[in-house]
Amino acid sequence: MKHRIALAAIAAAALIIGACADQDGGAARLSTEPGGNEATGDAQLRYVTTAGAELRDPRTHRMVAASMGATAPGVSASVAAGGTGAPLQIAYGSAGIMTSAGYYTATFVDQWKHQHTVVLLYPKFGGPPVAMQHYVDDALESTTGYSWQRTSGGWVRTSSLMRVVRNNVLVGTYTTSTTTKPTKPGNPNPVGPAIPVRLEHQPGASALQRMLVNVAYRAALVFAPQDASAQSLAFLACTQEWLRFAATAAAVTGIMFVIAEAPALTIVLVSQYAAAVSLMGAAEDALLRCILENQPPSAFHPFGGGAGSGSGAGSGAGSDDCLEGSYAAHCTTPFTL
Amino acid sequence: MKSSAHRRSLLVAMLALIALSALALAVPWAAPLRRAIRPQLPSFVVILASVSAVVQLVVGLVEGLSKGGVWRSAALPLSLGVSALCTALAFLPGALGATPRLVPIVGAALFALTAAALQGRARARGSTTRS
Repeated sequence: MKHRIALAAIAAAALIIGACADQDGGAARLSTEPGGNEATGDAQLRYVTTAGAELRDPRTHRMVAASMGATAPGVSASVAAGGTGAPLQIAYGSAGIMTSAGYYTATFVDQWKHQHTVVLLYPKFGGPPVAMQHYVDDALESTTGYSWQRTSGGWVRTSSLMRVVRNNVLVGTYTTSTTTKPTKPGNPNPVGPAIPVRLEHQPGASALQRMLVNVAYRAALVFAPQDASAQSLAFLACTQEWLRFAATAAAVTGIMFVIAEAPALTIVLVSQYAAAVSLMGAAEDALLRCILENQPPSAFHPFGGGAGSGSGAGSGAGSDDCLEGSYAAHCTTPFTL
Repeated sequence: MKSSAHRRSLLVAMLALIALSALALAVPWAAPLRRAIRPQLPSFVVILASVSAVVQLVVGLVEGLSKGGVWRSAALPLSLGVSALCTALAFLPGALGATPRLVPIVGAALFALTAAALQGRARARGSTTRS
Protein backbone atom coordinates (compact mmCIF):
# COMPACT_ATOMS: atom_id res chain seq x y z
CA MET A 1 0.00 0.00 0.00
CA LYS A 2 2.85 2.35 0.86
CA HIS A 3 4.35 1.73 -2.56
CA ARG A 4 1.05 2.60 -4.22
CA ILE A 5 0.74 5.82 -2.27
CA ALA A 6 4.32 6.73 -3.09
CA LEU A 7 3.82 5.98 -6.78
CA ALA A 8 0.61 8.00 -6.85
CA ALA A 9 2.37 10.90 -5.14
CA ILE A 10 5.25 10.75 -7.61
CA ALA A 11 2.86 10.65 -10.55
CA ALA A 12 0.90 13.61 -9.20
CA ALA A 13 4.08 15.57 -8.54
CA ALA A 14 5.34 14.75 -12.01
CA LEU A 15 2.15 16.02 -13.57
CA ILE A 16 2.34 19.24 -11.58
CA ILE A 17 5.97 19.75 -12.53
CA GLY A 18 5.18 18.94 -16.13
CA ALA A 19 2.43 21.50 -16.26
CA CYS A 20 5.05 24.11 -15.41
CA ALA A 21 7.67 22.85 -17.82
CA ASP A 22 7.96 23.15 -21.54
CA GLN A 23 8.98 21.14 -24.48
CA ASP A 24 12.54 20.31 -25.39
CA GLY A 25 12.98 21.01 -29.04
CA GLY A 26 16.28 19.20 -29.15
CA ALA A 27 17.80 21.69 -31.55
CA ALA A 28 20.46 24.27 -31.06
CA ARG A 29 19.26 27.57 -29.69
CA LEU A 30 19.76 31.10 -30.70
CA SER A 31 19.30 33.68 -28.05
CA THR A 32 21.07 36.70 -26.74
CA GLU A 33 21.17 35.15 -23.31
CA PRO A 34 22.10 32.88 -21.76
CA GLY A 35 24.84 31.04 -23.59
CA GLY A 36 26.87 28.11 -22.37
CA ASN A 37 26.84 24.45 -23.01
CA GLU A 38 23.25 23.63 -23.80
CA ALA A 39 23.87 19.95 -24.42
CA THR A 40 24.83 19.37 -20.82
CA GLY A 41 22.33 21.82 -19.47
CA ASP A 42 25.14 23.83 -17.91
CA ALA A 43 24.04 27.06 -19.44
CA GLN A 44 25.59 30.31 -18.33
CA LEU A 45 24.03 33.70 -18.12
CA ARG A 46 25.75 36.61 -19.75
CA TYR A 47 24.85 40.13 -19.02
CA VAL A 48 26.25 43.03 -20.96
CA THR A 49 26.33 46.43 -19.38
CA THR A 50 28.01 49.68 -20.21
CA ALA A 51 28.01 50.72 -16.58
CA GLY A 52 29.60 49.27 -13.49
CA ALA A 53 28.41 45.95 -12.16
CA GLU A 54 28.71 44.30 -8.80
CA LEU A 55 28.44 40.67 -7.84
CA ARG A 56 27.51 39.24 -4.50
CA ASP A 57 30.16 36.89 -3.20
CA PRO A 58 28.32 33.75 -2.09
CA ARG A 59 30.82 33.15 0.73
CA THR A 60 31.09 36.60 2.24
CA HIS A 61 27.70 37.89 1.04
CA ARG A 62 29.37 41.16 0.14
CA MET A 63 29.13 42.96 -3.13
CA VAL A 64 32.34 43.09 -5.12
CA ALA A 65 33.07 44.68 -8.45
CA ALA A 66 32.36 42.36 -11.33
CA SER A 67 35.18 41.26 -13.58
CA MET A 68 35.41 39.37 -16.82
CA GLY A 69 34.91 35.65 -16.73
CA ALA A 70 32.35 33.14 -15.64
CA THR A 71 30.95 33.12 -12.16
CA ALA A 72 29.88 30.25 -10.02
CA PRO A 73 26.28 29.04 -10.14
CA GLY A 74 24.04 30.72 -7.65
CA VAL A 75 25.78 34.07 -7.85
CA SER A 76 23.61 37.16 -7.91
CA ALA A 77 24.50 40.29 -9.74
CA SER A 78 23.29 43.76 -9.14
CA VAL A 79 23.88 46.17 -11.95
CA ALA A 80 23.38 49.87 -11.39
CA ALA A 81 22.83 51.36 -14.78
CA GLY A 82 22.30 54.88 -13.60
CA GLY A 83 22.35 57.46 -16.29
CA THR A 84 22.71 55.06 -19.16
CA GLY A 85 19.21 54.50 -20.37
CA ALA A 86 15.62 55.56 -20.33
CA PRO A 87 12.83 53.60 -18.72
CA LEU A 88 10.61 51.62 -21.00
CA GLN A 89 7.73 53.89 -21.89
CA ILE A 90 4.84 53.33 -24.24
CA ALA A 91 2.69 56.21 -25.39
CA TYR A 92 -1.04 56.00 -26.00
CA GLY A 93 -1.80 54.86 -29.51
CA SER A 94 1.51 53.11 -29.97
CA ALA A 95 1.71 49.88 -31.88
CA GLY A 96 1.33 46.90 -29.63
CA ILE A 97 -1.35 48.39 -27.40
CA MET A 98 -4.61 46.50 -27.18
CA THR A 99 -8.02 47.54 -25.90
CA SER A 100 -9.03 44.16 -24.50
CA ALA A 101 -7.62 40.80 -23.49
CA GLY A 102 -5.91 38.68 -26.08
CA TYR A 103 -2.58 37.68 -27.42
CA TYR A 104 -0.46 38.44 -30.41
CA THR A 105 1.95 36.07 -32.06
CA ALA A 106 4.84 36.97 -34.32
CA THR A 107 7.23 34.53 -35.94
CA PHE A 108 10.43 34.90 -37.89
CA VAL A 109 13.26 32.68 -39.04
CA ASP A 110 16.85 33.59 -38.29
CA GLN A 111 19.92 33.04 -40.44
CA TRP A 112 20.45 29.60 -38.87
CA LYS A 113 16.96 28.53 -39.97
CA HIS A 114 15.60 28.49 -36.44
CA GLN A 115 12.03 29.61 -36.10
CA HIS A 116 11.42 32.19 -33.41
CA THR A 117 7.96 32.79 -32.04
CA VAL A 118 7.20 35.68 -29.76
CA VAL A 119 3.84 35.71 -28.00
CA LEU A 120 2.55 38.81 -26.26
CA LEU A 121 -0.21 38.29 -23.70
CA TYR A 122 -2.57 41.15 -22.89
CA PRO A 123 -4.61 41.76 -19.75
CA LYS A 124 -8.37 41.94 -19.47
CA PHE A 125 -8.62 45.70 -19.86
CA GLY A 126 -6.04 46.03 -22.60
CA GLY A 127 -2.95 48.20 -22.58
CA PRO A 128 0.60 47.01 -23.08
CA PRO A 129 1.39 43.31 -22.77
CA VAL A 130 1.73 41.84 -19.29
CA ALA A 131 3.77 38.88 -20.45
CA MET A 132 5.91 37.79 -23.32
CA GLN A 133 6.96 34.29 -24.29
CA HIS A 134 9.79 33.51 -26.65
CA TYR A 135 9.89 30.14 -28.36
CA VAL A 136 12.68 28.86 -30.59
CA ASP A 137 11.78 25.90 -32.77
CA ASP A 138 8.63 25.49 -30.65
CA ALA A 139 10.63 25.19 -27.43
CA LEU A 140 10.25 27.84 -24.77
CA GLU A 141 13.34 29.99 -24.37
CA SER A 142 12.13 32.65 -22.01
CA THR A 143 9.03 34.10 -20.47
CA THR A 144 8.80 37.64 -19.13
CA GLY A 145 6.19 39.32 -16.98
CA TYR A 146 5.77 43.09 -16.95
CA SER A 147 4.21 45.55 -14.54
CA TRP A 148 3.10 48.89 -15.92
CA GLN A 149 2.18 52.17 -14.35
CA ARG A 150 -0.29 54.36 -16.15
CA THR A 151 0.81 57.92 -16.66
CA SER A 152 -0.64 60.93 -18.41
CA GLY A 153 1.25 60.10 -21.57
CA GLY A 154 0.92 56.32 -21.60
CA TRP A 155 2.48 53.54 -19.59
CA VAL A 156 5.83 53.13 -17.88
CA ARG A 157 7.28 49.76 -17.07
CA THR A 158 7.83 49.60 -13.34
CA SER A 159 9.24 46.10 -13.15
CA SER A 160 9.81 42.99 -15.16
CA LEU A 161 10.74 39.42 -14.39
CA MET A 162 12.32 37.32 -17.10
CA ARG A 163 12.72 33.60 -16.64
CA VAL A 164 15.20 31.92 -18.94
CA VAL A 165 14.60 28.26 -19.75
CA ARG A 166 17.01 25.82 -21.34
CA ASN A 167 16.20 22.19 -22.02
CA ASN A 168 13.09 22.40 -19.86
CA VAL A 169 15.06 23.79 -16.94
CA LEU A 170 14.85 27.26 -15.47
CA VAL A 171 18.44 28.45 -15.59
CA GLY A 172 18.09 32.04 -14.53
CA THR A 173 15.91 34.99 -13.78
CA TYR A 174 16.34 38.68 -14.42
CA THR A 175 14.45 41.17 -12.33
CA THR A 176 14.33 44.74 -13.54
CA SER A 177 12.77 47.65 -11.74
CA THR A 178 12.60 51.31 -12.53
CA THR A 179 13.27 53.36 -9.45
CA THR A 180 13.39 56.93 -10.62
CA LYS A 181 10.69 59.16 -11.97
CA PRO A 182 10.27 58.46 -15.66
CA THR A 183 10.69 61.04 -18.35
CA LYS A 184 7.86 62.16 -20.56
CA PRO A 185 7.33 60.14 -23.70
CA GLY A 186 8.86 61.74 -26.74
CA ASN A 187 11.51 63.62 -24.82
CA PRO A 188 14.57 63.61 -27.08
CA ASN A 189 16.97 63.91 -24.12
CA PRO A 190 15.71 61.63 -21.45
CA VAL A 191 17.20 61.90 -18.04
CA GLY A 192 18.71 58.57 -17.25
CA PRO A 193 16.98 56.71 -14.51
CA ALA A 194 18.51 54.01 -12.37
CA ILE A 195 17.34 50.62 -13.51
CA PRO A 196 18.70 48.02 -11.12
CA VAL A 197 18.82 44.60 -12.67
CA ARG A 198 19.10 41.59 -10.48
CA LEU A 199 20.31 38.39 -12.04
CA GLU A 200 19.90 34.99 -10.43
CA HIS A 201 21.59 32.01 -12.00
CA GLN A 202 20.25 28.82 -10.61
CA PRO A 203 22.48 25.74 -10.41
CA GLY A 204 22.14 23.33 -13.30
CA ALA A 205 19.60 20.57 -12.88
CA SER A 206 20.74 17.02 -12.27
CA ALA A 207 20.16 14.26 -14.78
CA LEU A 208 17.38 12.85 -12.61
CA GLN A 209 15.62 16.21 -12.44
CA ARG A 210 15.88 16.61 -16.18
CA MET A 211 14.54 13.13 -16.79
CA LEU A 212 11.66 13.72 -14.37
CA VAL A 213 10.77 16.97 -16.06
CA ASN A 214 10.85 15.36 -19.49
CA VAL A 215 8.65 12.47 -18.38
CA ALA A 216 6.31 14.83 -16.56
CA TYR A 217 6.04 17.11 -19.56
CA ARG A 218 5.15 14.25 -21.87
CA ALA A 219 2.60 12.92 -19.38
CA ALA A 220 1.10 16.35 -18.79
CA LEU A 221 0.92 17.03 -22.49
CA VAL A 222 -1.07 13.86 -23.05
CA PHE A 223 -3.26 13.70 -19.98
CA ALA A 224 -3.41 17.06 -18.26
CA PRO A 225 -5.40 20.07 -19.41
CA GLN A 226 -3.33 22.35 -21.58
CA ASP A 227 -5.15 25.46 -20.67
CA ALA A 228 -7.70 26.09 -17.95
CA SER A 229 -9.66 28.64 -19.96
CA ALA A 230 -9.75 26.27 -22.93
CA GLN A 231 -11.04 23.51 -20.69
CA SER A 232 -13.79 25.70 -19.28
CA LEU A 233 -14.81 26.75 -22.77
CA ALA A 234 -14.94 23.13 -23.85
CA PHE A 235 -16.90 22.17 -20.75
CA LEU A 236 -19.54 24.83 -21.25
CA ALA A 237 -19.91 24.02 -24.91
CA CYS A 238 -20.11 20.27 -24.30
CA THR A 239 -22.47 19.92 -21.35
CA GLN A 240 -24.73 17.51 -23.27
CA GLU A 241 -21.75 15.35 -24.16
CA TRP A 242 -20.54 15.37 -20.56
CA LEU A 243 -24.03 14.32 -19.41
CA ARG A 244 -24.09 11.50 -21.95
CA PHE A 245 -20.69 10.29 -20.86
CA ALA A 246 -21.60 10.42 -17.17
CA ALA A 247 -24.88 8.60 -17.76
CA THR A 248 -23.22 5.84 -19.78
CA ALA A 249 -20.58 5.48 -17.07
CA ALA A 250 -23.39 5.09 -14.53
CA ALA A 251 -25.05 2.45 -16.68
CA VAL A 252 -21.80 0.52 -17.02
CA THR A 253 -21.26 0.74 -13.26
CA GLY A 254 -24.72 -0.62 -12.56
CA ILE A 255 -24.28 -3.58 -14.88
CA MET A 256 -20.84 -4.26 -13.43
CA PHE A 257 -22.34 -4.52 -9.96
CA VAL A 258 -25.10 -6.79 -11.26
CA ILE A 259 -22.49 -9.08 -12.78
CA ALA A 260 -20.40 -9.07 -9.62
CA GLU A 261 -23.38 -9.92 -7.43
CA ALA A 262 -25.00 -12.37 -9.81
CA PRO A 263 -24.87 -16.07 -8.89
CA ALA A 264 -23.56 -16.93 -12.35
CA LEU A 265 -22.07 -15.08 -15.28
CA THR A 266 -24.47 -15.50 -18.19
CA ILE A 267 -23.87 -14.66 -21.80
CA VAL A 268 -26.81 -12.25 -21.70
CA LEU A 269 -25.16 -10.24 -18.94
CA VAL A 270 -21.88 -10.24 -20.84
CA SER A 271 -23.54 -8.99 -24.00
CA GLN A 272 -25.37 -6.29 -22.05
CA TYR A 273 -22.09 -5.26 -20.46
CA ALA A 274 -20.43 -5.13 -23.89
CA ALA A 275 -23.29 -3.02 -25.24
CA ALA A 276 -23.03 -0.60 -22.33
CA VAL A 277 -19.27 -0.33 -22.71
CA SER A 278 -19.64 0.30 -26.43
CA LEU A 279 -22.24 2.95 -25.71
CA MET A 280 -19.80 4.53 -23.30
CA GLY A 281 -17.16 4.45 -26.02
CA ALA A 282 -19.50 6.22 -28.42
CA ALA A 283 -20.30 8.83 -25.76
CA GLU A 284 -16.62 9.34 -25.05
CA ASP A 285 -15.89 9.71 -28.75
CA ALA A 286 -18.63 12.32 -29.06
CA LEU A 287 -17.29 14.13 -26.00
CA LEU A 288 -13.73 14.17 -27.33
CA ARG A 289 -14.88 15.45 -30.69
CA CYS A 290 -16.87 18.20 -29.02
CA ILE A 291 -13.93 19.23 -26.84
CA LEU A 292 -11.55 19.31 -29.77
CA GLU A 293 -13.99 21.25 -31.92
CA ASN A 294 -14.44 23.84 -29.18
CA GLN A 295 -10.79 24.53 -28.51
CA PRO A 296 -9.94 28.20 -28.90
CA PRO A 297 -7.97 29.17 -31.99
CA SER A 298 -4.25 28.76 -31.54
CA ALA A 299 -3.56 32.39 -32.43
CA PHE A 300 -5.27 35.54 -33.51
CA HIS A 301 -4.01 38.71 -35.01
CA PRO A 302 -5.43 41.84 -33.44
CA PHE A 303 -3.13 44.01 -35.55
CA GLY A 304 -4.15 42.55 -38.86
CA GLY A 305 -1.01 40.46 -39.12
CA GLY A 306 1.24 43.35 -39.95
CA ALA A 307 4.01 43.20 -37.38
CA GLY A 308 7.07 43.15 -39.51
CA SER A 309 8.38 40.71 -42.01
CA GLY A 310 7.67 37.11 -41.34
CA SER A 311 5.16 37.86 -38.66
CA GLY A 312 2.06 35.83 -37.97
CA ALA A 313 1.39 32.53 -36.35
CA GLY A 314 0.88 29.14 -37.84
CA SER A 315 -2.70 28.77 -36.80
CA GLY A 316 -4.09 28.20 -40.22
CA ALA A 317 -1.94 25.33 -41.32
CA GLY A 318 -2.89 21.84 -40.32
CA SER A 319 -6.00 22.51 -38.26
CA ASP A 320 -7.48 19.20 -39.39
CA ASP A 321 -5.01 17.17 -37.39
CA CYS A 322 -5.67 19.44 -34.40
CA LEU A 323 -9.34 18.51 -34.55
CA GLU A 324 -8.35 14.88 -34.61
CA GLY A 325 -6.47 15.28 -31.35
CA SER A 326 -2.95 16.07 -32.39
CA TYR A 327 -0.77 17.81 -29.81
CA ALA A 328 1.59 19.27 -32.38
CA ALA A 329 3.00 22.69 -31.62
CA HIS A 330 0.60 24.51 -33.92
CA CYS A 331 -2.35 22.89 -32.13
CA THR A 332 -1.42 24.05 -28.66
CA THR A 333 -2.24 27.42 -27.21
CA PRO A 334 0.54 29.74 -26.05
CA PHE A 335 -0.75 29.66 -22.49
CA THR A 336 0.98 26.44 -21.56
CA LEU A 337 3.05 27.92 -18.77
CA MET B 1 -19.89 -15.48 -8.07
CA LYS B 2 -18.81 -17.94 -5.50
CA SER B 3 -16.99 -15.77 -3.03
CA SER B 4 -16.51 -12.14 -2.18
CA ALA B 5 -12.86 -12.40 -3.23
CA HIS B 6 -13.90 -13.57 -6.68
CA ARG B 7 -16.45 -10.78 -6.93
CA ARG B 8 -13.88 -8.20 -5.90
CA SER B 9 -11.38 -9.52 -8.44
CA LEU B 10 -13.99 -9.41 -11.18
CA LEU B 11 -15.01 -5.87 -10.27
CA VAL B 12 -11.41 -4.71 -10.21
CA ALA B 13 -10.75 -6.38 -13.56
CA MET B 14 -13.79 -4.79 -15.16
CA LEU B 15 -12.96 -1.39 -13.69
CA ALA B 16 -9.41 -1.65 -14.96
CA LEU B 17 -10.67 -2.65 -18.38
CA ILE B 18 -13.02 0.31 -18.51
CA ALA B 19 -10.45 2.80 -17.24
CA LEU B 20 -7.73 1.60 -19.60
CA SER B 21 -10.08 1.56 -22.57
CA ALA B 22 -11.34 5.07 -21.82
CA LEU B 23 -7.78 6.32 -21.39
CA ALA B 24 -6.61 4.59 -24.55
CA LEU B 25 -9.39 6.19 -26.53
CA ALA B 26 -8.58 9.63 -25.17
CA VAL B 27 -4.90 9.80 -26.16
CA PRO B 28 -4.14 11.63 -29.41
CA TRP B 29 -2.67 8.56 -31.07
CA ALA B 30 -6.06 6.84 -30.79
CA ALA B 31 -7.67 9.32 -33.19
CA PRO B 32 -7.40 6.93 -36.18
CA LEU B 33 -8.84 4.10 -34.08
CA ARG B 34 -11.73 6.29 -32.99
CA ARG B 35 -12.37 7.22 -36.58
CA ALA B 36 -12.29 3.56 -37.60
CA ILE B 37 -14.68 2.23 -34.95
CA ARG B 38 -17.05 5.21 -35.01
CA PRO B 39 -19.32 3.85 -37.77
CA GLN B 40 -19.43 0.35 -36.27
CA LEU B 41 -20.28 1.31 -32.69
CA PRO B 42 -24.00 2.12 -33.18
CA SER B 43 -24.85 -1.16 -34.90
CA PHE B 44 -22.76 -3.09 -32.37
CA VAL B 45 -24.60 -1.45 -29.48
CA VAL B 46 -28.02 -1.89 -31.08
CA ILE B 47 -27.55 -5.58 -31.83
CA LEU B 48 -26.08 -6.55 -28.45
CA ALA B 49 -28.48 -4.44 -26.44
CA SER B 50 -31.52 -5.61 -28.42
CA VAL B 51 -30.64 -9.27 -27.89
CA SER B 52 -30.05 -8.69 -24.19
CA ALA B 53 -33.26 -6.69 -23.86
CA VAL B 54 -35.38 -9.35 -25.54
CA VAL B 55 -33.90 -12.15 -23.44
CA GLN B 56 -34.15 -10.27 -20.15
CA LEU B 57 -37.68 -9.03 -20.80
CA VAL B 58 -38.87 -12.50 -21.80
CA VAL B 59 -37.25 -14.00 -18.71
CA GLY B 60 -38.82 -11.34 -16.54
CA LEU B 61 -42.27 -11.79 -18.03
CA VAL B 62 -42.12 -15.56 -17.74
CA GLU B 63 -40.89 -15.27 -14.17
CA GLY B 64 -43.63 -12.85 -13.23
CA LEU B 65 -46.41 -14.77 -14.93
CA SER B 66 -45.28 -18.13 -13.60
CA LYS B 67 -45.36 -16.86 -10.04
CA GLY B 68 -49.01 -15.99 -10.41
CA GLY B 69 -48.63 -12.23 -10.52
CA VAL B 70 -45.87 -11.94 -7.91
CA TRP B 71 -43.50 -9.68 -9.74
CA ARG B 72 -40.86 -9.26 -7.08
CA SER B 73 -38.55 -11.89 -8.52
CA ALA B 74 -39.17 -10.55 -12.02
CA ALA B 75 -38.07 -7.04 -11.12
CA LEU B 76 -34.37 -7.71 -11.69
CA PRO B 77 -34.58 -9.16 -15.22
CA LEU B 78 -37.20 -6.58 -16.15
CA SER B 79 -34.95 -3.74 -14.95
CA LEU B 80 -32.04 -5.17 -16.86
CA GLY B 81 -34.26 -5.64 -19.90
CA VAL B 82 -35.52 -2.06 -19.84
CA SER B 83 -31.98 -0.82 -19.33
CA ALA B 84 -30.82 -2.79 -22.36
CA LEU B 85 -33.80 -1.55 -24.33
CA CYS B 86 -32.92 2.04 -23.49
CA THR B 87 -29.32 1.33 -24.49
CA ALA B 88 -30.52 0.16 -27.87
CA LEU B 89 -32.87 3.13 -28.17
CA ALA B 90 -29.93 5.50 -27.68
CA PHE B 91 -29.21 5.01 -31.37
CA LEU B 92 -32.84 4.43 -32.39
CA PRO B 93 -35.24 5.51 -33.74
CA GLY B 94 -34.10 7.57 -36.64
CA ALA B 95 -30.97 7.42 -38.65
CA LEU B 96 -27.99 5.76 -37.06
CA GLY B 97 -25.49 8.37 -36.04
CA ALA B 98 -22.30 8.41 -34.06
CA THR B 99 -23.79 10.49 -31.24
CA PRO B 100 -26.15 8.64 -28.90
CA ARG B 101 -29.29 10.31 -27.58
CA LEU B 102 -29.26 11.64 -24.04
CA VAL B 103 -32.70 10.65 -22.69
CA PRO B 104 -32.46 6.90 -23.45
CA ILE B 105 -28.95 6.88 -21.96
CA VAL B 106 -30.24 8.40 -18.74
CA GLY B 107 -33.00 5.79 -18.70
CA ALA B 108 -30.48 3.00 -19.24
CA ALA B 109 -28.38 4.31 -16.38
CA LEU B 110 -31.33 4.58 -14.01
CA PHE B 111 -32.59 1.07 -14.73
CA ALA B 112 -29.07 -0.39 -14.55
CA LEU B 113 -28.55 1.17 -11.13
CA THR B 114 -31.96 -0.10 -10.05
CA ALA B 115 -30.99 -3.57 -11.22
CA ALA B 116 -27.74 -3.33 -9.28
CA ALA B 117 -29.66 -2.40 -6.13
CA LEU B 118 -32.15 -5.25 -6.68
CA GLN B 119 -29.34 -7.71 -7.27
CA GLY B 120 -27.56 -6.59 -4.11
CA ARG B 121 -30.76 -6.91 -2.09
CA ALA B 122 -31.48 -10.35 -3.53
CA ARG B 123 -28.00 -11.53 -2.66
CA ALA B 124 -28.26 -10.16 0.88
CA ARG B 125 -31.62 -11.88 1.30
CA GLY B 126 -30.19 -15.13 -0.01
CA SER B 127 -27.25 -15.06 2.38
CA THR B 128 -29.58 -14.27 5.29
CA THR B 129 -31.81 -17.19 4.36
CA ARG B 130 -28.84 -19.57 4.16
CA SER B 131 -27.49 -18.49 7.53
